[in-house]
Amino acid sequence: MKTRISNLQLTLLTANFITASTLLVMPQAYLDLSLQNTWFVPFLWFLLTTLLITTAFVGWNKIETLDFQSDETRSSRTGQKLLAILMILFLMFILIRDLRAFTDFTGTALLELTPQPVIIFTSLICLLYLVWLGFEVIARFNDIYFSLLFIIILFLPLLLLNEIDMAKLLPPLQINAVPSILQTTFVGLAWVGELVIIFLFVGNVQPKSDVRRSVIWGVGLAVIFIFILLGSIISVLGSTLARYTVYPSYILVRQINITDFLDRLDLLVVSFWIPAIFSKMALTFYGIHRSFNMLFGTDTKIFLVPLALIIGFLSMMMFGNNISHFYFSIYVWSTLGLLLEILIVAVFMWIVRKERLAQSRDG
Amino acid sequence: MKKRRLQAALLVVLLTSLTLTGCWDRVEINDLAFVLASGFDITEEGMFRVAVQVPLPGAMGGAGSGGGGGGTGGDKSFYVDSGIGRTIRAANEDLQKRMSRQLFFAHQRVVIVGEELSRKGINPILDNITRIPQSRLTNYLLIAKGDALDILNADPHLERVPAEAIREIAKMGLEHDLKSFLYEYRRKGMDPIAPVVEVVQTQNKAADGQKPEVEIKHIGIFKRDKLQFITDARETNGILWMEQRMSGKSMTFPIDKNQDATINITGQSFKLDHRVHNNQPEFLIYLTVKGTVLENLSHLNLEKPQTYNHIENVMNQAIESQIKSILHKTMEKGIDTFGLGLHLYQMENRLWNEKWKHRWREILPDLRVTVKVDSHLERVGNVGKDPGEEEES
Repeated sequence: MKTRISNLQLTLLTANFITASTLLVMPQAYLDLSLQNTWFVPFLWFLLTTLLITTAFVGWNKIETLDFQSDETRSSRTGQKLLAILMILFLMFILIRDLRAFTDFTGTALLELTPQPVIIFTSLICLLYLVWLGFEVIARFNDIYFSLLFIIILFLPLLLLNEIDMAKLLPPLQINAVPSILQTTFVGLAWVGELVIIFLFVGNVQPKSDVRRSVIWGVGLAVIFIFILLGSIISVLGSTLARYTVYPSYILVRQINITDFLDRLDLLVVSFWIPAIFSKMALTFYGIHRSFNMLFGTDTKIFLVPLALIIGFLSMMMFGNNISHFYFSIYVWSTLGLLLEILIVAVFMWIVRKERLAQSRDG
Repeated sequence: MKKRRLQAALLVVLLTSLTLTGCWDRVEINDLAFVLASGFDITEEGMFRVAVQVPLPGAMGGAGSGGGGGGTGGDKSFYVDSGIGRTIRAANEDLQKRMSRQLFFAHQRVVIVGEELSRKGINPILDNITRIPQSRLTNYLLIAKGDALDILNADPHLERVPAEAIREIAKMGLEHDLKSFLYEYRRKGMDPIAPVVEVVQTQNKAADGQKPEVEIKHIGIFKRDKLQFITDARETNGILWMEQRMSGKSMTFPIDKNQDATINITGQSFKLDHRVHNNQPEFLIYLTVKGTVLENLSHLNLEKPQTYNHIENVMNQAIESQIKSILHKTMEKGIDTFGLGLHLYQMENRLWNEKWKHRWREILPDLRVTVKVDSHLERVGNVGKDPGEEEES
């Protein structure tokens, strides 16, 4: 049976994919570069990713179907295999990086004595379970947890009202801040551009015609999410203090202090954040699995367990410590990720064009 | 079929048990020593002394309770001990060696630094308490007059544990937590402050009624991470005015031939403005204050509008002198306690970066700051005239 998701699910998957792990590891880097002006950067990301999506979906409405799981899409086999190879490379990097980020955060904030391999492999078992159940289950899981997390983040400024100091946002958007804002935009663009994973799943969305709008809505939700979080970090902690902490988002939620009674709500927030990160990692893992099936022309889950083991080992071995992981996330990924994303968009556009020509020939 | 189901169930049970890795970090609650307050001092040999205040769960119950599984220490509901080491962590490890429970800092609410260590620099303490994940930036940071260990040993009447008393008093006063201190410390154009806590005896003539209470009456002024001086009463009020912490407090000052009145401050607003004159910034501080008369020991008739005006004028002068006393003292020493530099960074960013940032401490003493206070008395309470005033016949 063909898996189907709605446009709303696609929107929420897109939004979660952009925000979940980005907000765990990247705010410190962004704040270090553009200090109190960082809140402005998400709007630039929105403009650039909207341009990317609009370009990628040129000709999309002229094709009837583009389902990488079925034999109906025949004319662009080379393109599909190329897309699969790029996706495998792209998504492997993302999953290894995110798994390691989650492990480091858990080891720092929650389970200090638990060995890293134990955290990694038990997380992988959980992810394996989610991925085994299929794409629809991942989408439904994401619906619940991302929606709840988004509502919590919307209320975050209200919960932190007694800690907010708007003077910490000054001076706003000076001309000499433009280079730093552009730098931050570049560093974060690869992270926001990770939404290109949705090209693997566009064939599963009904109705097909609203896909582009749904993805742009997803980017919009993600931008609001990131804007609220970055704005809160700057106005509560201040950019000079936040750039000195490793996990400013976590420090921020620890500042929630409504009364003496309600002052440890960070557990509640983290309880929704961690499943959202798992949702992103599960989708990434599923994307790798689907790409392998596309590459070998199969429809099997036999790749999942060895893939999980490989990802687990690479996650441990690729980064010696959390600083090398940060280095990769900030310096390496901003270029490598962007390059892979541009290639994926180009290949996707080629596939859409070939499919359009083939379908108009057949029609 | 049955065999396959059994195998599947067994696999699920096995896999589920692997998720119990939270047990790796599991510590029983009665194996934890919850540290509510920490004190940091420096010994004569230059080593760090770290003191902790830990509540005794068995002694925390109601009247008549005692013993139990949580440990007791006679009639005290808490216990203080300290360790010595070359670093803060080494001192903690020294202390841990004679504690049957693992030190747990997640519930720490108060951090006290001894006066001598504060004067040498508190950066090592800031590094330690911000680096460990258990610590929170909502902790209150205070400076002890004398040794921090003496503060932790105080035993106030109203709270079972001194840390709670210190926290509540700190909250009523400056309410300056670790986050605020770190922000001021890291920010160029601003120097941090911290409340000063000391041990005083209960002001009670009964010989057996004397108990060491904690008092927060003064404020420590820092230059970067080194304590420079402790304010007196007038200077403390000046800081409270500038930090907008006087609402809810009262102010006593002479209004007529050394006869005093007390005004309850019901509201205040503060505005810092500047202008640039000959490439030098000049500052203007505006303060508006609202208050009600709490006490009048003079014979002035508060039913007359002229009396109101007189009290307001005297009050303006008193507040101005309190603010100016601390402003001049800090600026003369090149200390920017009130964030004048930060204000310029926010409002005159280009000029700050080009002309003032790199020599800010040198030009501070020469800067001109004008203070303007506008007080307004709203009410006089339940009586207008002096109750001792004779009726006109």
